[in-house]
This record gives sequence, structure tokens and C-alpha cells, in this order.
Amino acid sequence: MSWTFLGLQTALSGILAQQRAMDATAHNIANAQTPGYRRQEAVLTADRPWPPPGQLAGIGMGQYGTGVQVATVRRAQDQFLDLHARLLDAQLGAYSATSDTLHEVEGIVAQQSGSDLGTLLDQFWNGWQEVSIHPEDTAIRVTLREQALTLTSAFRDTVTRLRDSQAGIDRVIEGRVQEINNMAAEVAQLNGQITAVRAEGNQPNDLLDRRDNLLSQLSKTVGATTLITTDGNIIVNVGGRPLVEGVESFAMQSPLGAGGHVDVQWADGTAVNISNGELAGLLQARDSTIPDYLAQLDAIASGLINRVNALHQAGYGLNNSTGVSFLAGTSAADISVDPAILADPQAIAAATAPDAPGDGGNALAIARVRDEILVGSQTLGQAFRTLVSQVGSAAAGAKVRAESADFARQQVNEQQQSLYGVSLDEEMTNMLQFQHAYNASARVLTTLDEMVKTIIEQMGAR
Amino acid sequence: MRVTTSMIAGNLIARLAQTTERIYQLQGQIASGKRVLRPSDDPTAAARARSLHSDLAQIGRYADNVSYATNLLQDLDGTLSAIANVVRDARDIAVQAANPTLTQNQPVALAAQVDQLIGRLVSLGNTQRDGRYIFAGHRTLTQPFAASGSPPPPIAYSGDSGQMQIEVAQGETVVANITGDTLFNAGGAANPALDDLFTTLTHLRDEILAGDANAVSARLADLDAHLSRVLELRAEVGGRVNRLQLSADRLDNMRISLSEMASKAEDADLARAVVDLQTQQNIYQATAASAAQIGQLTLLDFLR
Repeated sequence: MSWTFLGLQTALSGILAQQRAMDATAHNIANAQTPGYRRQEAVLTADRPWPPPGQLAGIGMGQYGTGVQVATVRRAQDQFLDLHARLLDAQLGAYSATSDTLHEVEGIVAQQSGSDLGTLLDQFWNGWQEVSIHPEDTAIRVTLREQALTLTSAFRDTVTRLRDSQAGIDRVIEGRVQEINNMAAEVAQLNGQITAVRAEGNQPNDLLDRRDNLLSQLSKTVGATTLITTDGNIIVNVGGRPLVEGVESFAMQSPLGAGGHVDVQWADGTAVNISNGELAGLLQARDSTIPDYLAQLDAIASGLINRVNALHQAGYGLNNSTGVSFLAGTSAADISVDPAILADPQAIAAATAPDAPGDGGNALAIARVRDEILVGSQTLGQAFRTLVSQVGSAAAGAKVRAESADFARQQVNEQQQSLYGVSLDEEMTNMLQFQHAYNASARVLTTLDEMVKTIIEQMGAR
Repeated sequence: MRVTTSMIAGNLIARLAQTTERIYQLQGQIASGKRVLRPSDDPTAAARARSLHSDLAQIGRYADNVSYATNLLQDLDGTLSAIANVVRDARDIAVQAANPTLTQNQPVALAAQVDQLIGRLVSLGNTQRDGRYIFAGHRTLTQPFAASGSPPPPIAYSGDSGQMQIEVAQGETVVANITGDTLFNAGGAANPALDDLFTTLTHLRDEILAGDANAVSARLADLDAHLSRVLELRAEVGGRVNRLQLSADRLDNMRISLSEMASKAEDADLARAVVDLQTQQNIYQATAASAAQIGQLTLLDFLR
């Protein structure tokens, strides 16, 4: 036993469902180029058939279909792929930060051969050679003094620039901590909204997109890891402590620490344990890599100061002065030419004995410091070249790691794009399907209308 | 694989960026002539090149030192030759004066010639180069020989026995001077049994004036001893110059081979870089052209 207007309702459900599906298509096309957007689709299911089981059993010829409904608007998602992508984001963040910093450090320590510390050191030794063969010539002493001034200021300049680089990292860290706090607060807020929308039985697709973007950013910045709870909420952890838990976020701070650099701490003052992401790369460069290079520069500078001064103090100047230092300072940061030498180049102790203006023996002894083993098992020049080579290898290694992390991330990105991205061709095809289905449903409606009209008008006329 | 619209664009951008980076690197190589612009381009080659450049700087210094020492020693040789000639002249005068059949005026004239020779010797002993006295040892700013009294003036040496050491290879020096005490046997520095050259000549003059032919003949032996010492010193200086010539050749060879090694380590192979650049440009053009052809096509173009 059928019901006159059931068909009209069924056709209407078709019209409405195709409209909803078309809406999803329109949303996809509109967002085809939106970063982080994930394709949505209306999931159509057949409406509950009539009659329901148990009622009016046995009187009809089975169940009638009653049309179609939109069960949900589904968002393309693969949680495993997303997790993997965030892990790669964290690695990429760390390696890129290391690579960028080392690139900068390389430019500071390992300048073009020809203007670097190693070349200036060679010129300094050659200056002593020149004095050793022209010990009476004041002009040549002045030249040596100028070479020494250039060399010592290059040491200090290198230290200053490395420290500037550390200070630059501090500024970046402060900015990143602020961004992390903002992002954490937004994730907490989104968690609340997502729970609320779900409680109403709806899919918060675009909120999820936004949250996924933030999680990816947090992984990249600070190596945040995520846990999905059974109720679909997300816990964001950094170094084993929660950054976001449900609707609550926990702020970080970046106060100035004991070493003159900013520390990254939780609000209660404990250090944030950062082992991945951009901040890990920056902290590693600031606290380990650059200090190591600075220490090596200091070893070279103090080796130079101590050895040259020991020899120089034993020698005699043109003015018979003795016991005078040639260099002042104790490290690469404060190495300079001794004020006595600046005041009078005659005080340069080229001679091994007094009253011997033609004696360049002490100058030659100082020139030969070039080949003395003074830093570990190396000469000063070798120690500097080792440092350059170390910086170069570290920069090259970091670049390779950053590139391969980037490549791996690209691969996963491609998979994500393949899965989540909008294909205009596909949307066009869907659009045609929905359009035809809509038209067909409408045709069913008008046909049914005509059928009812037949009953009402032709039967009623009689 | 499901290929989405943004994948096509993203892929295109990544490929073009890759090719552009490669072109940028190759252009850098061609413009600078260097394959290794930063140590990270090739850490091993960069370290090697820097080490070689440091060695080249040292070798260049040694080459300069060798050429300076050679100049000094060649000048010195000239001065020694002049001194040897003075001693020979003195010897000729002594041979003449030893002849017992001299006329009345001859001894006075010969003695005057010896005096002139002494003056010439003092002036040669005080030879300066670039404002320094070359026979003064380390006391190069003080005139080493001066008559300190009159007459007869003994000529005292006020220099020292300092050697001028010039480094010509790592740990290897050459002595680029001869001190006045050795040269003139001042204070018996070379031969304690012999007077200094000035005193010998002063004695000779006095003996000629005294007409003591036997004493003059006996003086010939002293003059021969002086002459042979000066000639030995000349030979020694010549030996040093020869040794320096060998050093110069060796340094030159080292410089050439080290430069070649440095070039191999860091210089760009231009022919290859240019060919690579052409290849990358072709790739870039092909990528861009294919993008221009297919990039605009979607199903939309066929739906009406």
C-alpha cells in the first residue's frame, strides 16, 4: 500500500542532497589554492526505508526507499600521515635552523681565502721576516706594526661577529617563544570549539584544518608532539610536558639567563627540554657550536700572544728597550698591539742583544713561530685552517641534512597533497554528476506533479 | 597517484627553483674561476687549498729573502774584489820596494802610495748599503773603521762579530755578511799570529820609508796571508751565492707545483662549467615551456 506524496518527498530529498553535495564542491573549488585546506565531500546515504521494521509488518510488498540524506561532510584525513609529516616538520625545523646558522658562521670565520685570519697570520710572519733582514729600517717596523694591527683587529672582529650572531639567535628565540604561546592559546581555543561542534553532531572540518596547520607550525618551531585522546581532543607536548591540554594552554617565557643569553622556560621557571624543531637547532648553534669555535679562536690567539711576547720580551729594540710585550690581551676577544709598540716602533725587539741595530735574530725567531707547534699538535696557522675546515664541513653536513629533511618532507607533502588536495578536474566531474542528479530529481518531481495532477484534475472533472 | 591542482604548480616551482639554484652556482664558478667559493662547497679541497696558499706565502717570502741575500752577497763580492786588488797593489809596491837599488825619492813615493791604499781600505771597510755599514756586524749604524789618533794612526774596529742570518728555507739560514774583524783580521780575529791588514800596511810603509829592504821582503809573507784570506772569503761568498741560486731554483719549482695543486683543488674547470650551464639552461627552458603548454589545461576548457 503506497502513499501518494511519498515520491514527492523522495524527489525533494534528492534535490536537497545534490545541493549539499554541490555546496561541498563549491567550497572545494573556492579553496583549491588555500594552504592547508583539505578536500571535503558530502557523504550521501539512503534514507531510512518505510515502513520501519516491526510496524505494519506483513501487509506490504516490502520496504520502500524514502530518498537520500547527507550523512556527514567528510574531510580527507590520514592521521598516520599527518603524524609522520609533523615529525618531519620538527626535523626540518632543526636542520634548517642549524644549516642557516652555520652558513652565517661560515661567512664570519671562513672568509674568502685572501682576507681571512690565516692569510693575515701569514702576512704577520712575513712582516717579521722583513724586519729580520732590515732591522734598522723604521719604515719596515711600522709596516709590521700595521700588519699586527690588522691581524689583531681581525681576531676581535671575528669574535664580535660570532657574538652578534649569538645575540641574533636570542632575538629569534624571543620571537619564536611569543609565537609558540600565541599558537598554543589558539590550539586550546580550537580544541574547545571542535568539541562543541562535535557535541552538536557536526563536523568542524575547517576548524580541524586550522588546528592541523598550527600543530605543523608548532612541530617545526619547537618539535612539539601530539597525542589524540579518545574524545578526539589533542594534547600537545614539548619535552615531555604539555603545552596544550584540552582547552588549557601553558605559556613559555624567555628571560635573560646567567650566560647573558635568553633561556626558554615554562612559567614556573623550569627549563623547557627542547630536542627538536627550529629552537633545538638555534640553541645548539648558540650554546654549543659557536662557543666551540670561539674557544678554538681563543686558543689560537692566546698561543700567539704568549709565544710572541715570550720571545719579544727577551729581545732588544732599536732603542735598547727590553722586556717589552709586542701583543696585549689574553684571548681572541681582546688581543691587540701593546701600547709600547704603538707609541714607538723602535721598541720592536728585533735584536737578541743591545746596541745591535743590524741584528734581526730575534725578529727571525719570532717569524719562525709560524712553524712552531703551539695549539695541540698544530701550528697556529694549521689550527686556524682546521677551524675553517671544521666550520666548512659542519656547514656542508648541515646543508645536506637540511636538504634531505626537506626532500623527505616534500615526499610526504606530495602524499598529503595527493590525498587532501583539490583536483579541479575531479570537482568539475562531480559538479556535472551533481547537476545531472539534481536535474533528474527535479524531473521526477515534475513528473510526479503531473501524475498527481492527472488524478486531481481528470478524475475530479467527472 | 591522484594528482591535484596544487601539486602540479608546487612541483613546477620546486623543479624550476632547483634548476635556478644550479645555474646560480655555475655562474658563480664561471665568474670567479673558482669551483670552491665557500669551504662548505668542498671542505676537503678548501682546506687543502688554504694550506697550499699558506705554503705559497712562505715560499714567496723565502724567494724574496733569497733574492735579497743574493744581492747583498753579490755586492759584497764586488767589495771583496776591490779589497783583494788593494792588497795586490800593496804587494806590488812591496816587491818594488824590496829592490835594494832604489833611487833616493822612490821610497817616499812608494810609502805615499801605501798610505793611499790604507785610506782606500778604510773607505772600503766602511762601505755602506742602504745606510748600513756592511762590515760592522750587528752595529750597522756605527762606522766600523776610523783612525783613532795621529800619526801613525792605528785603525780600530768598532763593529762586532754579529752575523746577518737570512732565512731561505724552513729552518735554514744563509749568512749575508762578513764582519770587518774577520775580513781585516782585526784583533787577530782570523789569525792571531798575524797583524790586522791596516797595521801590516802601516808597518810596510814605515819599513819602506826606513829603506829596510829585508824587512819589506819579509812583509810579503804577511801580505800573502792577508790576500789569501780575502780570496778565501770571496770564494766562500761565491759558494753562498751558488747555494742561493740552487735555493731560488728549488723555491721556483715548489711554487709552480704548489700553485698547480692549489689550482687543481679550488679552480673551476671552465669548459665543463660552461657545458653544464648550457645543459641546465636547456632543462630550465624545457621545464618552463612544458609548464606553459599544459599548465593552463583543465577539464574546464572542454566543458561548455
